[in-house]
Amino acid sequence: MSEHDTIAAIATPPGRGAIAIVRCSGPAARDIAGRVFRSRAPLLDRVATYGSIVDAAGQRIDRGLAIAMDAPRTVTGEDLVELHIHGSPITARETLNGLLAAGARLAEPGEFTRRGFLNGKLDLSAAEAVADLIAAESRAAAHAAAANLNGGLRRLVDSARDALRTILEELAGAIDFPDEVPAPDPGDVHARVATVAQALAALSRDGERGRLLREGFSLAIVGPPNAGKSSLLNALVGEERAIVSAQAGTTRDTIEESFAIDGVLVRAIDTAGLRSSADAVERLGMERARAALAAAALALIVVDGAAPLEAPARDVLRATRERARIVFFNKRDAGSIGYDARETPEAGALWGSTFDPASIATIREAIAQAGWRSERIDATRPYLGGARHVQAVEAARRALELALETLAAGAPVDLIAGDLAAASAALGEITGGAVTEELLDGIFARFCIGK
Amino acid sequence: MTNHGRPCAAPKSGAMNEHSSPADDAQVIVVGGGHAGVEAAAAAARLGAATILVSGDPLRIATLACNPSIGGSAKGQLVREIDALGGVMAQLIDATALHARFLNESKGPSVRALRALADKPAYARAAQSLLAGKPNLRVVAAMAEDLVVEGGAIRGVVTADGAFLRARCVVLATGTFLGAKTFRGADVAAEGRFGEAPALGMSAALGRLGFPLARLKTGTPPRIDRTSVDVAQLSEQAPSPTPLPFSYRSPARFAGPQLPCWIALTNERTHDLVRQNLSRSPLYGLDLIRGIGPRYCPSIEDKVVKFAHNPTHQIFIEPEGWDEPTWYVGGFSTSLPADVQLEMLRTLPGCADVVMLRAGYAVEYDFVTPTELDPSLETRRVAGLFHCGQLNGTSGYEEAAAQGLIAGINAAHRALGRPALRLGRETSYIGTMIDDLVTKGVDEPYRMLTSRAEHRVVLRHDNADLRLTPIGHELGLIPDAEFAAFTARRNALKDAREAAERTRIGPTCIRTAVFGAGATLADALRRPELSFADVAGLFPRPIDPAIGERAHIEIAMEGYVRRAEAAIAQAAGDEAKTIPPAFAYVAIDQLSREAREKLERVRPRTLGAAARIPGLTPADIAVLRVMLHRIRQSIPA
Repeated sequence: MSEHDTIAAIATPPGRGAIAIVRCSGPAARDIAGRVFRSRAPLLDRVATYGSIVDAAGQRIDRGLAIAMDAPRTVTGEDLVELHIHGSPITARETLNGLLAAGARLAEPGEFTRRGFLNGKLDLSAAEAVADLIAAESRAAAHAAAANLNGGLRRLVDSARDALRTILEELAGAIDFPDEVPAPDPGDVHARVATVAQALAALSRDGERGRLLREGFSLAIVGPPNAGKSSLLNALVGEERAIVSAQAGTTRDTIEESFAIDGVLVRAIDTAGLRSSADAVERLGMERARAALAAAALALIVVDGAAPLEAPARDVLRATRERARIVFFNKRDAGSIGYDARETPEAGALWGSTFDPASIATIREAIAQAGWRSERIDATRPYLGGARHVQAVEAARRALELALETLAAGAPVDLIAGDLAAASAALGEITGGAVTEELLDGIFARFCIGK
Repeated sequence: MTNHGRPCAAPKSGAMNEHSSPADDAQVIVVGGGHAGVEAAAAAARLGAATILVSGDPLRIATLACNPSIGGSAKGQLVREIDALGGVMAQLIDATALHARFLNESKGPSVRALRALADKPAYARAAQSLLAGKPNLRVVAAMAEDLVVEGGAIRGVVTADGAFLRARCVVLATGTFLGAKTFRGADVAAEGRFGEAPALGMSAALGRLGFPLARLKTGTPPRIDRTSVDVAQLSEQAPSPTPLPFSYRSPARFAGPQLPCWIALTNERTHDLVRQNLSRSPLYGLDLIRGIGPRYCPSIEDKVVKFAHNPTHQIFIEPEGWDEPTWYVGGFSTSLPADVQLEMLRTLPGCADVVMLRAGYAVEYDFVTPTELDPSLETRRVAGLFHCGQLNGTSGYEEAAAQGLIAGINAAHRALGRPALRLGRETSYIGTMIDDLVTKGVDEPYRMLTSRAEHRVVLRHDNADLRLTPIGHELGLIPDAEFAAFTARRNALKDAREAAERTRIGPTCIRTAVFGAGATLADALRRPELSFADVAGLFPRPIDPAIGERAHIEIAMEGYVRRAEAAIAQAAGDEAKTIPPAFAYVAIDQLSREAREKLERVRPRTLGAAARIPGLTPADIAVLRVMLHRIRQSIPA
């Protein structure tokens, strides 16, 4: 853990709030934030700047404010950038992921405070408090990890480590006791390393699933006014109403309701109708609708199917063409006459009625399909407990990829030992355990060695 | 601290210089003439400290007490490092080797290692004559029985005949002799080694000073008469057809005729004999041995009991000298009664009429927990007192010699008022071993293994000189002429690498490898299927093959080395954060009680070392980091 690298973390408490703040501190804070935050105006010291949060592909995740604070007059004593975004856990997570992908390291518990202390930003008497904080947070994290690790994750990580350790034992045995232990076959080692790498890749994907299970899935319902958005939301929530609690949105004009599909909590935001308007209040509502749309993982576009397609509907359809969405043409009732179906360019659009249970079931299925690629969500399967776990598994997987490259190139087997040990150590951060001692115990238990 | 007020007539020393106080007999006293003591005494004297080597029997200095082999996996790297720093072991084995082989050649450049068998008497003689010719060095025949400490600092040793030898620094290299007992069945003898008296007073002296002592066990196999074996029934292991010197400074020639070794396999009759006689084993039925033995060097009893499913075990029969009548029976270490040992030997192929010249035995001895030591190998408890070798719980000639070299250097430096030498894990196997010892302690005899060296990609046999010779020269252990040869070698290596990167070879085919336009010699050397010899002719100027092989390794390893160096650089910050020697861990409430106790006991020198103490959590280290910073801030610069 170096104090010369740049760290990032979500600064606001978990859960929903009006805004979320994602912080980034360290020598590269401005560079890293600059890859995630786009604005017309440059970031000035201690000036809030409006702009877009974008993902690695340049796609906008959200709009928000960035505030850059230059060292040393910051809480950490380092260059610091704060990104103020809309208060959705998913948006905050994606923003953080963007910073990590751009080169930041996930902050350790209490690390912002600790850096502040180390840079002389805190009173000396705060040292005990910082130490208390670290001790307390690590205990809390350990308890949380233990709770999660009792289940499948521990078994899965342990079995990956066991597989790696077995290979390392065979390598080390053959290297340190060449007269007594035969060298493992490189082809066989390749197959075994590949199996572990695949298991870790699957676990990484399950990491996404874990996130879904913890935080739910955000859905923005958008469309022109009076297309049937609210009645659709009511219909979606209706059968779940007994098990979900309605929750007012943070603004007067967007309503959030939650319901479950496959055990995943879907947080649906019913937005103000989108159309051009001169009314200032209505324009504010539409601005928020667009922000909700940008932040949501999936858009559900509702268009009146009983009337000819008008400009607002065309605008919404055009504006959302590039993003994950479901288009639903709402026929008010079976008897009404819609416009000519050939007029709609929307392949794969759904037709139906918000009053027809079959239509609602189709929409629910479509949400699941688009939302989690129809992979079965099984809450009893192991998933990674947090970004630190995801990072550890990713680090392990990358190390194994390097080992596989080395083996594929026909290089001597010893050259993979470092990567296998690194992978095992990364996984050890999840479950604990020192590589070297376990390894030696294994060698001496398995091989009869010694002259 | 004890204070031996006994007035003693100090024997007058011949070798003195201006740094000694007139009452001292020497600046450095080395106790014990095994492989640790030899390196310690040679290094201290070479560095200019007036040195006395106290040996119970000077004619047994540098005895190879167990197997005849020097080097092997990881141990071979230690020997290369000893040589690169300016130690003597590599040159001693090069002058006396009767069989040498490269190990792990196909497994990767970072684990290649050299092993050689010595002519045992020739090796000991070579060491003794080397010491006899050393300026500043005197050998005293005596058993050191007690330590004299005044005001927390060592003042000298007292010998069995009551003489008080005074010195600023004392290096203890007592091997297996402290409180030693040997076992052959129910036959228990007070011996440090076959037929040699143990050191009984020194354990008590160390105990009185507060050093925690514990017991370890090791063993040695029987020796057989080479004329009584029918080698036609054994499989032969041939030595390398070309000379393989350990030392960068040795000529590439054989020390004498090269001899083969032999492999025999045990069988069910051998194993039955072991099982039938377990009741007579001091390890099993008799239950006489308390010390913990090495898992990597189990007795034949252990092999048969713990690996009962193995139908056979390999036995390595090795000559102990050109003119020695004895062969060493490797892999057959045992403490069963001598009559059973002979019966067991006779079950081996080619050994129906074998004559046993000496029975194997187990030896149990005291060691001092090495967490008592600073990485300079000075004890924290007594200033000027250094521990090395088996006294620290290690096993093996190479491990002992490496520690002896460091202890000798640091004892001399302390006596001469120079700074201590501490080698980090990233510099060497030596540094890795010492860090393991002082931060983790030992619970079985410690052997160097490649798997202990996380930085082994950069700690290779081939580059020991690049890593350590500049240090050895700066210390004054590597003479200028040898350093000039090293510099020439280093420059030639650099030139060869640059030529390989610069020289275009493509488009072409070399053996099965195809190269496109723009390919360089370096690209060819990165192909695992090609050797330096395959491309040697393509260099614009002829390259010395030894330099070419090294350039090949460096080019092929480049990517791995870069990754390893990045990991080392990342760890460097914590390795540089030193912890004050008297830091009060007990006062930090945020540390768990277990962490406080461990830190108090080990007293790591740096935050990096603290993180390696088994059982300490990342949170403990984070707390420590914060508290250390507070101390640094509160001390005015």
